[in-house]
Amino acid sequence: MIYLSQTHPIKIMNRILFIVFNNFQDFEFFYHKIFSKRNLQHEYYSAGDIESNFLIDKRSRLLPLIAMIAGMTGIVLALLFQFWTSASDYPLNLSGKPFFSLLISIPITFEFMVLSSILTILIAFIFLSRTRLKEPAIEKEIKKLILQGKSVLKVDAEVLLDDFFRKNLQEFINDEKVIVHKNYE
Amino acid sequence: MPEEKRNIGKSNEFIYLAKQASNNLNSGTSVFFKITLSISIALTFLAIVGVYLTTSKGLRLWGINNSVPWALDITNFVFWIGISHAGSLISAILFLLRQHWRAGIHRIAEAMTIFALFTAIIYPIFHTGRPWLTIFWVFPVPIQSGVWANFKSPLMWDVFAILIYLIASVVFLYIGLIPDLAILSKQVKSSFLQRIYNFLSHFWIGSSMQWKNFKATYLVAAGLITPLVLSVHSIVSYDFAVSIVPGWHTTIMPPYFVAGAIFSGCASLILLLILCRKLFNIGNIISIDVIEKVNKLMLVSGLMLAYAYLTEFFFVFYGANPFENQSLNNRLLGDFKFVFWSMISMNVFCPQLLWFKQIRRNTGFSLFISILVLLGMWLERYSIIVPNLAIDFISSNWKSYFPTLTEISILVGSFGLFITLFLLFLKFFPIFSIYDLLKSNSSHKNYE
Repeated sequence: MIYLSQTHPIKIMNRILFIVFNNFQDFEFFYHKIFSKRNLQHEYYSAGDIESNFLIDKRSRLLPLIAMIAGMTGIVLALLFQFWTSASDYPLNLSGKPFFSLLISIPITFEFMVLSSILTILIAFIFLSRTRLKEPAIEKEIKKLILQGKSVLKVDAEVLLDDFFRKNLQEFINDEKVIVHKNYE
Repeated sequence: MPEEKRNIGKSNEFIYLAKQASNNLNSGTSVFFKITLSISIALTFLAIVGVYLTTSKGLRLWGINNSVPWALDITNFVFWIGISHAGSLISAILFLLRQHWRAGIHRIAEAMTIFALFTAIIYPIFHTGRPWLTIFWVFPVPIQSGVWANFKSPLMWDVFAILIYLIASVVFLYIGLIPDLAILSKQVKSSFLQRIYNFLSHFWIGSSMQWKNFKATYLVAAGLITPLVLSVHSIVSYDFAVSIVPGWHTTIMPPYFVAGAIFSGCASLILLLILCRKLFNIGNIISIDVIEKVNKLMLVSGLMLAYAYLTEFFFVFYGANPFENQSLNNRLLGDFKFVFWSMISMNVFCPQLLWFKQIRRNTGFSLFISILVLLGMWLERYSIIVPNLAIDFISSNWKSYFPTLTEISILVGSFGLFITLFLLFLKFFPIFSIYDLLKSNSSHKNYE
């Protein structure tokens, strides 16, 4: 762990920086007002990653799509199932009513759609959220910090080339609000 | 500024909330908790005895007869399904509407949904008389002759609706629990709980990628649960509405049932919130402000229900059907008039007290009103089911109904079962959502 301060000139030897915020409010301020605006629009920087116990205001676009496809599959399967059981496998004449009707199939079809969507999105969520540990020791340390209530900003070390970013980060460091890990290759 | 509001302002920190959540899991139980749990377990045994007697000696132990085949059991079934509704309402609909005040109470509401559904399912299963055969009747498998279950029947829709609602509610609760379980897995002392928490949240480290997935999943799940809430009780109402029994055969039933379900669910939620404040000393999380907001929801849904009552009466008046008139007269002035007028006073007049802010913000009054509303809503279901069956088209078919001790023991025991499951959940899982509270608190801050 290297503490970044005025007396320690920054040398960008490592690819990734972990900026650990002790306080969520500082993290949120830094992220929304400094990091997100500069980082995401600058060609030098990688997208970065944020690790925190707090909701980040971004949303996956893939998962709702998966849920929609699963829901539509559920609708088709439920209709086919009801048609097959009521009109094909064992057609039962109930007071002369039609063997199959779309209207009467709506309740069960809707329920199947919900079941199919919600189970699929849960499985997809778990599958897509698996952590791929590149450096288990570092990741373990980061997880420990997060579970203590700290927030971690994981960014490309080249972010320090940006004067605006470095100046703002320096202010936080001087106030002892953040610790910078930069021993991750 | 009220004391609780100041406290929640001060407690706007991760460490504080995580510690408070873990304290509830690590510390020993209070005397009040032990007494409440003991009473609820004792009541559960009452239900077990009732169910055992019903299963071993048959449905002759119940007061039902050919004219009134649905009575206390279906009343209780509809009552518990109704209770389950406010849980999803608070959790999913308020999430979609961006109501931050739900943050401290949605976990309790979700748990209430699941355990109320679990309690409700018991009734139709034992009402069959031979519960060991239920699996052949309710699951879509052909019986020996190759005939499939009738998917055109509202009773079959009920089975699907309730089971899927239960599964969806469990999934919704689990998704919301994941980040909290990851945090608390390092803070609980019990190795057993640690193993369970680790198993349930093994993949979670809180990276932005995971939060992005989490937010999308939670939003989609909330979006799916919301129409499900409305559909489930509508389908339960079809059990009655699609029949030709006077008093049941009306199109107002689905919205009437949904409004009633939300109304009774809010009352039940207030009761549980006040219980949790007392049991776990979390007055700073479940503040008076929150209780006041749920009281307002209860008032609004109560007004909707009152409107549904008036519509029901108007339908009978305007329809001029002699059997419908006879059925309504029986409810208003006949043998069941005590049930009807008690229901009206508890469901329509009593909630009007909630127009007063002082009453909405008083836990004692809130508790009192919510108990009366719950009683009123139970009587409403009884008033819909029993009087209408007791007096139908043919006078030779008229027969009254009185509940037996076995039925009453199952009814009382169901409350014990519900409270027991609820308390055990609160003892072993975090009562409130840490990340949601942090987010809702921080969103009110100005960082400009």
